Amino acid sequence: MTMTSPIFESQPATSSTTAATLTATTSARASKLQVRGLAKTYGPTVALDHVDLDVHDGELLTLLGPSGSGKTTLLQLIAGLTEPSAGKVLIDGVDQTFAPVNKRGIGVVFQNYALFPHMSVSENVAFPLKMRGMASADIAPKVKKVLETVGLAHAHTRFPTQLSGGQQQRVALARCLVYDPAIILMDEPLGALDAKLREIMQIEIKRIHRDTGATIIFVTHDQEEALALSDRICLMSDGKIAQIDTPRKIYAEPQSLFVADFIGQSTILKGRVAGAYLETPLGPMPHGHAGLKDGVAGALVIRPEDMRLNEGPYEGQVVETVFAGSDLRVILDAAGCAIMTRAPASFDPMIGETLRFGWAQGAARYVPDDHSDD
Amino acid sequence: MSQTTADPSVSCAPAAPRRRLWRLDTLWLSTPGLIYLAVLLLLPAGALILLSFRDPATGAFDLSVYRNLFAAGVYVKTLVNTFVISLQVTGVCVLIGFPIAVWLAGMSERRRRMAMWLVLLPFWVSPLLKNFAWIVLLARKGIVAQILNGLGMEGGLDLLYGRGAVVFGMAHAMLPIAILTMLPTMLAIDTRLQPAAMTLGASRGQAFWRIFLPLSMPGVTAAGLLIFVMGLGFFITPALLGSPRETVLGQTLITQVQKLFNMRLAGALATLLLVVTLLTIALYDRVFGMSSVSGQGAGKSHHGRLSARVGNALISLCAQVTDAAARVLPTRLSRWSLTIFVWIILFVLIVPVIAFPPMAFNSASFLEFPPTSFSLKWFEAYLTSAQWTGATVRSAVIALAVGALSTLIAGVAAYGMARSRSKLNGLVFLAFLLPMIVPNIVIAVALFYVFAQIGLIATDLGIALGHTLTALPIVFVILLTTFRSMDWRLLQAAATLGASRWQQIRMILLPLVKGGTIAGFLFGVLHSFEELTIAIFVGAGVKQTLPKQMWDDILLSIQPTLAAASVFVIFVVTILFVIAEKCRPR
Repeated sequence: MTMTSPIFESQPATSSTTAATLTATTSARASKLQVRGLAKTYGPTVALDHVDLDVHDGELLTLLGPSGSGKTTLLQLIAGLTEPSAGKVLIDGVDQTFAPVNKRGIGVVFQNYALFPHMSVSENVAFPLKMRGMASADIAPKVKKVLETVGLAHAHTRFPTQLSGGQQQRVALARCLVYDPAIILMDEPLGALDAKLREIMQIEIKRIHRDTGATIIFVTHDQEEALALSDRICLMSDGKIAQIDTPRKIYAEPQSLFVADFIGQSTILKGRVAGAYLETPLGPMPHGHAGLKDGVAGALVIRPEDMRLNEGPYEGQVVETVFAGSDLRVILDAAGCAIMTRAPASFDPMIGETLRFGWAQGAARYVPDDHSDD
Repeated sequence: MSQTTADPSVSCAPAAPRRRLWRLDTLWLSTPGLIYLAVLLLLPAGALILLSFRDPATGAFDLSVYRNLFAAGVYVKTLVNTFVISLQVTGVCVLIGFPIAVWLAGMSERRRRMAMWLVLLPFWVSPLLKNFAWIVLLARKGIVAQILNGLGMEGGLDLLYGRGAVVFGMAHAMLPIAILTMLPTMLAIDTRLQPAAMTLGASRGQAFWRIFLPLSMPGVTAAGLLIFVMGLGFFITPALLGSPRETVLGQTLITQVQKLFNMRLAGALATLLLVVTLLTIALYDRVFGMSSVSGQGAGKSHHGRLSARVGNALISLCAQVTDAAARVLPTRLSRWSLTIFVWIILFVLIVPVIAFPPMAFNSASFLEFPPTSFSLKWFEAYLTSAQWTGATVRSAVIALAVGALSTLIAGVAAYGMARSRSKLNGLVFLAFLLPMIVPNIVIAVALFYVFAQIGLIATDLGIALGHTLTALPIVFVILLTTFRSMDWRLLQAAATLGASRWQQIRMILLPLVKGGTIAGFLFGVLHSFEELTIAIFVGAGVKQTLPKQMWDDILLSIQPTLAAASVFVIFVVTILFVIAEKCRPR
């Protein structure tokens, strides 16, 4: 998947962005949603650890992270489905932390859609309008229009169980769009779909986002999905925000080993700082940072597209080759490190063969090793 | 991440205003039910047990009742009878029920639903009716005797009033329970396992005995336990189809309470019955583990070493026998013989249901099958008798009250449990099943003892309270299944779409649990409408319910009016049961 979205507005945001710096740099765009020091604990377990987050009006932000990283908890706190242990949720600058769910006007697309099984498609879509006391004469045309938008006008009398996964997904989306909520939260909405359908729905969601101008917060554990969809990605780990950035920046400039490791497949050379160098298994290499203390754990990250095969100062043995259609992924072993490289599809090395490799100057990026044991 | 959905059982640290600091686990909603169980089950049973251990004059601890009980040979013989008959019935039910369950499990979903009616309908027809039918059918000049005579068999004359008739009648009454208990375990077995075993070299027989049978054992043993425990308190069949030699504990209890007013001895007998029941359950738990009853953790093997070794030996023996048979006989033959066997049994199960209408529309002044002429006079007699119509109306009113009360109590508790994550869930669940575990006759005698002291004997209220108690387990299980199958996120979804708390309940929750709730209510009604034991004791011959009226008539003089009443009961049961089954969620 190389559906990386065009960058809308890249902000020079840094990791764990503090609210102040962010609002300062993006004063052009209003904050739709502000999260301040939000925390949630379940007994001794910390699900969310005092998180600050600003979501701009009309942006599509993904909450990305491995399971247990706190992204769904954050989503539920924003929606009001769970009450926080500490912190605040502000919508349009108004404190809504303890406002009841049904008064927030936030749209939620649930993980498994949560369509009402005893109501037809159009009844499901009409539900939020009915809840808002709209006259049924006004409801019908709105329902019809939104069902046309998601391409389900023909299925309006069917019941959820008679629909395919993709169609259910569209109904859930329609039910959310029909009342124009200012913020739409999506909890892994594409998780249950097969790969092909996922891509189609991703494009669909981008289109709807563009057309409606709604602020969308999208939870996923799939980094490719996050890269493809987002204006910005909020990468979470252990109940904290690891980095918020545009997809390009988060890929090109990871701020920590976790981010570098989670996004994309990279060669990671771990080691300890000694002067201007990092002592890696492949030998000392310049880390290019000033003011790093000796003995600090860090790593150099090299993206596979920056790695050169059959040239360079190092040697490694081929341990695995993966044919990926357009290219061949070659994994080398060098001094116990897994070296991720890409080669033309025509290239056909033997397992165990020794190959040379290297990288362009400046391609190796130093990141602190946040998961080191010391 | 999905496990971090709203968890009401966890309280969080105080941090902000406008927030409840601590939330009660929803399991608290089961307290009305638990109080009901405590007041109407534990308390009366405890009082009755205590009575048997206390000297009535001084109140001191006293074992004289038990000494007398064991000294008199008749009680010991009754005890042995009860135990042995129950064991025999268990054996018959498991051996005959197993192939039927296998047959049902092997069907496609759609055909099984159809075939299940043949098991479920006999399940809901009360033992009283089923046994009563056999009195007529197995009578000296009855149809079965005639057929056997026609086939040239001499022994066909004395079918009734013996051990054989009692075991047959009881097994017939309880076979549906055995089948219904075994089936879920069998349905849970992965259907690919047997083909997998065959690709690994097992013959069809080997695959069945070595793969299917061991995996279905939790259901089989649970069925055995249920039948045995229920058999211990069973008295209808021995009273109707047995001779004095088959007298069981239940009958003795009735005599002691109703004829001799010896509550102390009755207390002692009830205590013994309860102890045997609990010992059986404890033994079962030790050998097989309780988990196989609740259906959770099937496949976890708790088998003792001895039972495992015996079981393995049996399995390999069976496998060898079927292998040998398969070499000689064509597979199709064994398939056919299973099908024929199953249909014969299903026919026998349903016979009482289809035998009553012809008898009721007969004009003869005694019950005969097959009927010889057509007449409505017995229905007329039924409908014009104040006694019969009074009993019918009383039964109907009580049944409706029981349905409503048990649905309310069980429904609130089931909702609480379905939404709770408390560690006490298992314990509360077991508590609600208690009225099924404690033999009905013990409950009835205990209620009689306590109700007698507070003036609830011979009142409709007393009967309704007792019926509600014994209806609770089935109603609770149905409603728990309903609420467990409810997707609670739908309420959250409705909330995000703007629905208030009340709108969520009215527009989402109620429509989705309506079917299960109606089913629970109707099964509660059915239970009460057919209940006999509590009606005997608490009604005390004054407030006659329909089953009690029938029971008295069967014991005193069998008249065709009975057949008319039976047809009416079967009609009501069938209608309610069909509606309930259609409503029940799956």
